[in-house]
Amino acid sequence: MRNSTMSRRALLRAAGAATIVAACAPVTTQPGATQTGTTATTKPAGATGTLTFLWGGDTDKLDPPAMTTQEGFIATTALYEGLVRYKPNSTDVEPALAERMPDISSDGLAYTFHLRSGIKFHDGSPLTAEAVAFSFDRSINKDNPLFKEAQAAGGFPFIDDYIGNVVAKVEAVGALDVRFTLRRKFSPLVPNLAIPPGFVISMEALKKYGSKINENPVGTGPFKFVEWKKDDHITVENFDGYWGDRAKLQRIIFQPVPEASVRILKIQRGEGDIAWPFDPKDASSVKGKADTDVLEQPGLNVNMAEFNLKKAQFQNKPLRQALNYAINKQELADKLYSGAGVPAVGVLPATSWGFDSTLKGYTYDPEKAKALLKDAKYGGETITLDSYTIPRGYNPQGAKLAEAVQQYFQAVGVKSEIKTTEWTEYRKIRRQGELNVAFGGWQADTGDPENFLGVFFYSKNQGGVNTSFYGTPEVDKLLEQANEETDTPKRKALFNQAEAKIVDDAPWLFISHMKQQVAIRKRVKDFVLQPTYIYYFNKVSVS
Amino acid sequence: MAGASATAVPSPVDAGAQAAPSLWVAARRRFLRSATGMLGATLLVLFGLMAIFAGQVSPYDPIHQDFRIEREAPSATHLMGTDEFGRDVFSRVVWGARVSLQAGGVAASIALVAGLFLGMTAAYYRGRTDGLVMRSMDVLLSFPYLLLAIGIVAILGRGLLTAMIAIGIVYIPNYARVVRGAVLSVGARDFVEAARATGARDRRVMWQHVLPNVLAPIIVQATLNVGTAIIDTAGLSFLGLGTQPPTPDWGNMLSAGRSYIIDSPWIATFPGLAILATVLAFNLVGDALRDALDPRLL
Repeated sequence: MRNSTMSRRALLRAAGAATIVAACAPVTTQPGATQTGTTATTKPAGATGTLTFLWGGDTDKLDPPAMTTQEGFIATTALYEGLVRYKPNSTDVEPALAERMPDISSDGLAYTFHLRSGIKFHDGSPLTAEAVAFSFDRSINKDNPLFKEAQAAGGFPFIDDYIGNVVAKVEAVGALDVRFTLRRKFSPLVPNLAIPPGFVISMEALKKYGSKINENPVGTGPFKFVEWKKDDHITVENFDGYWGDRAKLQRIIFQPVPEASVRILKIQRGEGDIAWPFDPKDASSVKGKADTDVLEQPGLNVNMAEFNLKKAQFQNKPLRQALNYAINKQELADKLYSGAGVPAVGVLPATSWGFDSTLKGYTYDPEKAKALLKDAKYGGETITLDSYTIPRGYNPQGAKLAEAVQQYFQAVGVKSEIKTTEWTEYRKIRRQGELNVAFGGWQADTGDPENFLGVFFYSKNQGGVNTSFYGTPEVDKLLEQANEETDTPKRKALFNQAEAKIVDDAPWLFISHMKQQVAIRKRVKDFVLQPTYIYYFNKVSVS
Repeated sequence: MAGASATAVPSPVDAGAQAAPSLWVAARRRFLRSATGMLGATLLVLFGLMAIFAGQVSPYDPIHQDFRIEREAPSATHLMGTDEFGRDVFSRVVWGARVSLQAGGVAASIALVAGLFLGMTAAYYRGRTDGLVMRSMDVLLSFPYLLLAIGIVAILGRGLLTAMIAIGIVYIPNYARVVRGAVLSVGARDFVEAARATGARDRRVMWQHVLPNVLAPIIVQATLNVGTAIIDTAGLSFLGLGTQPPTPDWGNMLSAGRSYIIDSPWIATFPGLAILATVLAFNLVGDALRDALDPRLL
C-alpha cells in the first residue's frame, strides 16, 4: 500500500516537474514538438505545484446537493461555484456566477439573478440561465426525473433545509436571468446559495450522467476533476478555461489519513501541506515552527449529543436537563480538547451574530442533576450512548467524548452503555431515528443563526439535520418569523427567544464549541480560513 | 485459565493410560525439563492469578476518570502512569488480562470443540461427509483470518462475545484438519478394527478408542492457538469491533494510546507488553508441549 502511494507521489512529482519545465519554456513553442502533448502547452504561466490536503475520512459523495460531509464541502468548492460566494474569512456573501446581488421583488418572494456572460463549465458547455434552472430543478423538484433517479443513490438529504422548503421553483427568465420563486419570505436564502447544495452543475453532464455525476463532477470552478479513488485520494487540476483569475496551483490532492497524529507527522515531514482536523494536543508540535504553523480562530460550530425524542425514554424533560447538569463542560474543553474547546451554553457559539450573552444554560452541578433525576423518576435504566468513531472538526476526539460523558453520568448514578457505529452507517440510522443519545455536531455552513437553530429544531427538518426529532409550535413560529424578518436586530431577538426555549427543553446535551484549527506548511501562501470551513483555493500557491 | 492449561498436561495421563502409558509420563517428564516451557507456564500462572484476582491486585478502579491527573508519567502512585482520561494504566492492564485470557480461551475452545467434532466426523465416515466437511473448511481457509472475523462481526454485531465467536469460527479449519489427519492414521490401526469387531458403536469407538490417541497434537494446537486468538481479539478491539469502551481491553488500550505514542508512550506501551508477554508464554508452553508430545522423539 505504501509502495503504491509512494509511486503515485513520485509520478505526481514528475508531472509537477514537467509542468514547471513547460511553464518556463519560451512561449513560442516549436511547431514540430509533439512529445510535450497537448496538456503541457496549455498550462498557464503561473499554475505550478501540488497542494496536498489531509483530512480524517473520505467524503461520502462529490455531488454537491447529495453529499453530507464537510470533506465533500471542501473538495467540491474547488470544483464548483454557486451564484454567490463568501468573502474571505467572512460570512458575508459576494456575487460569483451572478454578476451582481439579486433583484428582490417588493413582496420578497422573487429573487432574480443576472449571470456573468462567457462562463464555461469544465465540459465546455456554457453557463446559461437554463443550465442554472436545470441544476436547481434537479435538486428541489420532486417530480423531476433526475430527482427521482437520485433517490436510489441516497437523494439530497439537506437540500430542503437550505433551499427546497422555501423555493417553489427556479426558472430561466432570459438567456442569463434566473428567477427563484419563494413560498414565503426567507431572508437566509442568498447566503444559503453560497454553500455546496447551491452549487451549479453542468446541465450537459447531468443529462449524461444523472446521479453518476457523483463520480464525474463537472462545474465551473477553478479546478476540474481528475480522479477519485475512494478512501485514498481525490485529485483536482487547474482548469484553463476558468472565467475569473486563474488559480495558481496546478493540482490539489485531498487525502484521507484516518490517524490524527499521523496527519500531523505528515505535515512535519512535508508529506502534506494542510491538515484538518487534528487533535488540539498536537498543535504545539507544529505551531510556529520553521516550516510549519497552525492557523486558528474561534469556530462557528457546536459539539453535542442529541436525545432521540421519538423514544419514550427521552420524552422526559427533567431527565434531559439532569444529564445536562451532570457534564463538566469546562473540564472537557480544557482537558479532553486540550484547551481548544469552549463550553457550550446553548446552541450558538459566541462567534455567531445571534449569540445571546444572557443565556444561562446548564453549568456543571451534579447535585442539581441528582435532584432532577428524582423528579424524572429515573429508575436505574441503562441509557445507550451512540457514538461515531472518527474525529470530526467539532470533536477531534471522536468516540472518546462518549467515554468521558459516560463517566460523568456514572458519577450522578446514571447507567449507560456506549455503542459505536461506523460514520456513514451512523448518519444513515440517525436520520432514520434509530439512535438513542446520539453524539453529533455541526459546522455552520452559512453563519446565519438559522443555519444552527432552523436546521436542527424546525419541525419540518426532522429526519434531515433535525435528528433529535424536536419540534414545537412555539419554536417553529419564532423561527418562521425570524426568517421572514429582514431587520437584523429584530431577527436576533426572535432567534434568542427560540434558543432560550430550546435550551430549556434540552433536546441536546450542549457540550462545546471548537476553535477552527488548521495545520499548515509555511510553503503554502494565501490560504485563508473561512468561518464556514468552505475554503477557496483560487489564490493559494505553494513555493 | 492458565491453571487449567497447566493441569491439562497430567490429566490425559489417565485417559490415555490404557493405550500408551509411557507416552504421557515421558511427555510430562520432558515438559518439566524444558526451561522455556516452565518459564511460559509460570508466566501463564501469574497472568491467570492476575486475571482471577484483578479486583484485589489493581490499586484503582480501572474505569474511574479523573481529568486532573490525565496522562501522568509512571510513578510510585501510578506504576504505569495514567491515560488520557486520568485512569490508572496498571489497573487497566490487570483488568485487561481477564478480558484477554477469557477471549483467547473462549475463542480457542469454540474452535477446538467444533474442529474436533468436524474433523472426527470427516475422518471416521470418509466419503461424501469427508468431502463436504473438508471442502467447507477449505472455503473458510480461503479467507484471510482477520478479514473473515471482521465479516462475521459485521453480521453478528460489535462486542466482546461476538468477537470471541468470530475468532473461534475462523480457527475451526485448523483443528478440523489436524484432527482429521490424526484420526485417519489412528483409524487404520488394529485396535480400532478390534473395537469395531466387538460390535462397538461409532460413537463409542470414536470417543473411547480414537480420541485419546489423537489428543497430543490437539493439545499443542490449542495451546498455541490461545495466543493467536488473544492477538486476534485484541486486533478486533483495536479496530473498535471487539470490547466496547470503557471496559479495559489490551487491544482497545493500544488503539486509544497510539495517538499519544510520542508524548505519553506509556499509555500504549504497557498493554502492548502485556499482549507480548501473554502470547509469548502461550507459545513457549505450546512449543514445549509439542516437543514433549512428539512421537518421533519417543
